[in-house]
Amino acid sequence: MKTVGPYAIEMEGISKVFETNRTVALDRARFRVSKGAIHALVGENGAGKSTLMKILCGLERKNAGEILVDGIPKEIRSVKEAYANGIGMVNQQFHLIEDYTVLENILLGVEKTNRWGLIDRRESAKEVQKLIEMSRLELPAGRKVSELTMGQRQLVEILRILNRAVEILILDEPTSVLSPREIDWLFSIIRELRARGKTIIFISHRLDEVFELCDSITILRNGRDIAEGTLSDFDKKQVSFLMIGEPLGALNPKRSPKQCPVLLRAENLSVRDADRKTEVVRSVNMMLRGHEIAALVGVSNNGKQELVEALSGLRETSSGNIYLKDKKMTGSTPRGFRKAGIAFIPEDRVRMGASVSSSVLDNILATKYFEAPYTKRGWINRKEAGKTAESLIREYRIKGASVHAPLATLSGGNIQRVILAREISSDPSVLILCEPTWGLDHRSCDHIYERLYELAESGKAVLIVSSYLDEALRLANRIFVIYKGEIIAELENSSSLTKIAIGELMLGLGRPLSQGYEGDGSSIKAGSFDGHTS
Amino acid sequence: MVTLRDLWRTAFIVGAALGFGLCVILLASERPGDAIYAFFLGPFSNAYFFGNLLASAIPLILTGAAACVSFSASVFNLGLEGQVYLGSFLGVFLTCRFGELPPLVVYPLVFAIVFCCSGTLAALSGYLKRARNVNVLISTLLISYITIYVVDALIETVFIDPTAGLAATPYIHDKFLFARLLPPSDLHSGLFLALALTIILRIIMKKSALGFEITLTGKSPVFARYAGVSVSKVLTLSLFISGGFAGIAGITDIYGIHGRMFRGFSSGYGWNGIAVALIAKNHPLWVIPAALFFAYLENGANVGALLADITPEMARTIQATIFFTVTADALFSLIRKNKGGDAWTPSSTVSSL
Repeated sequence: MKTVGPYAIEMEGISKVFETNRTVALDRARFRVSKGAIHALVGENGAGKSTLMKILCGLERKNAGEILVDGIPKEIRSVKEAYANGIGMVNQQFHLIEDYTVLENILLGVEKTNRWGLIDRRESAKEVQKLIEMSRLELPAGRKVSELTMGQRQLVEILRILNRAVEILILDEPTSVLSPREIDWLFSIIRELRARGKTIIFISHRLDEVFELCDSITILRNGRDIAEGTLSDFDKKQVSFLMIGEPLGALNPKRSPKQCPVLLRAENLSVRDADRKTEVVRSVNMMLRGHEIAALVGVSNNGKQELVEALSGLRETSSGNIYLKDKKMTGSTPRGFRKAGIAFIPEDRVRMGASVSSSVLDNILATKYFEAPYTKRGWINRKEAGKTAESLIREYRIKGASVHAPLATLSGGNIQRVILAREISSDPSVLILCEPTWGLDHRSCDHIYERLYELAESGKAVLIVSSYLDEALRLANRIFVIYKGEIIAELENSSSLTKIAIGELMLGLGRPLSQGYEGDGSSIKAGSFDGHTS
Repeated sequence: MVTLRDLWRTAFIVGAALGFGLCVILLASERPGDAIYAFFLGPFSNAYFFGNLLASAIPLILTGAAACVSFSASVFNLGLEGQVYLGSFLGVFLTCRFGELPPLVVYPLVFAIVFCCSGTLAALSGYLKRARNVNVLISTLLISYITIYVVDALIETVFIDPTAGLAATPYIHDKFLFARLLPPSDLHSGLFLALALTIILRIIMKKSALGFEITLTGKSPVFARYAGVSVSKVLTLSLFISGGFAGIAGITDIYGIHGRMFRGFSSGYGWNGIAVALIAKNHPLWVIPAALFFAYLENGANVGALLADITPEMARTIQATIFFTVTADALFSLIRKNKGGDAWTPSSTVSSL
């Protein structure tokens, strides 16, 4: 199994040891990408994918090994040198300036200047417009980034890198925050780029996507390359076996929901956007019972985010009520919601879900510090907090964590676990979890799924918000579909429910739903809405 | 967390500041050798100068600590000067009012009232932010100016000492003056008060639930709110403590040195406190050496004016250059944040300005 030359990139015998925590991230790894291919780089969390790519684009220095670009040995010591060699990477975390427009973000750092050294906006804008047209996207170049969806931000990020005459584009988990429709967009753009002769390195945990999109693949495990070759030589099972080194455990069987008490209830809930002009969530009625996992799906910008933020007390509601175990929560503070038993993990883990410059301990303590045994008469008992943090680190197998080190020193997957550990350990009666497996490998996913099952098993309610329909179908008993701020369908999960059917509803294409339809186990009901679909 | 790297950087800034001072002297002085000696070594040449150096560090320690609290919460209290003024004026007024009572009764009373009033003045900006979304940076600054002028007006009208040749309040009774530690220098026992309050502040920031909330809010207000912290309450409280410390700085200077309040008595204690907090990286204990450094520069200028041909204008120029260098440090960290490939470094301090 071999990839074919000529190679755009050859990395031979790359080794990297992190002195700070004495871990071997890469051990004589080889990585080769044919020119003009879409090449997948897969591996578990901590297999060394990110480190390898950081070395390639100048963010990390290798300890040993050689890098050849188009067959010529190169030293890549900085991001600038990477750009000079035509290599650019789109990170998992966006580096966009929220208050700048799309155009300004794309131009940042490579502005065209006129002969007085001033920025020539018109000339610069022309080039970008060409790029935007090429991507066949309706990206509003004059909009501020803060107004864009995650998907649009991803595309801005890609355009920003492309604008630097990049020939080899590295995409790190580009689909993790995108909705299915946005993923389709992205894939068509990637294919378009291939047609224009660019080489693309695609890092993903989602094997479905890898097999849909890529031509060739390299599999990393524990810092070494385990296999490489054209993708047609592999099947999914084989790849996941190679990644993990052992077959995955069977999934828990789905439980049938019992008649359990209602834990969370929204009644005619409406939410206005930040400007208080338009309603982004419109009279939503929904119920979550104990012992169940429900999923909320919808295309981004359809009120998904606003709804769950309102349900967890972080966003002001304009009308309607929220009840937690029959206690009226409307108008309560975020802490009030937490005390009443809500736990929430937002989509934006790094900005909202954690403080990466604070220590691991402080991140865990942040939602607990005000209560006994952590606080007595206003003074924090750090010893007690340390004990809790240590035990959570063990229980959730959080690697590389010293409780006093800043959270930023952990890998993305381990940051996730810290957040999950913190939220679950507060013993919530309702857990709302956005994108549960965002950027996680198979094994970590299963770990999280198990936790969610455990929670449901113990009588709690779980609401996941996922843009990954496979995941929603796999986990949830019920699926809520949100479209233009309204819950347009509440579906019982069964074998007859398909991704395509849900996808159509998400896009507002589904026919107006029949009332109280009870078919072969998949009941669809329109609820109390005025049949709003197009 | 103060790292070795931070220490190096601070050393570099201190060095650069001194270097600039040196350049100004070389350019402007007729006898640069004498001037340099007076400026740099003068403050250490005898007990009098050294005592004055320590004495002028006292208000800077307190205003530095004041700036630390609000900066830790990522709110910029630029009204320290006004809070110093209000604290001093109220302190003098109350001490005159309660002149019959023994100092040990008056001190706690005055300190408590001054802390609360100056604190409330600062906290007002927190309220305005919450109720009307007024930028804290601007409202603290403007309120501070208003306060200074109102206090000036009071000193010149209702609470003026008619026998004094300048706009000043009457003197407080001698029994209220702090003990001098190193006569004839200005050094007074308020030094211990300043040190004790700074250490208490450090303990509050490190060990208390409030300190935890302030730090968390400062690092990421979005996360703090999500975690259940009442962000506006924490911001207001941090402003309150900050203003309180500024007020104490003012009245301590009165009790220790002046014995009365006069127009313009604070030679920029509030502003220099901000620079002190910047050098100290918002760490309350580092405030102490940072304040000493600042006091050293100030006294170097004074001694230079006394013993060599450094004019007060030159001394001010040197101080201004140093202030610039120190403030540029904030820019320094900004550049590092943007340049490094560190995907996780949040720019919360910048964006919340």
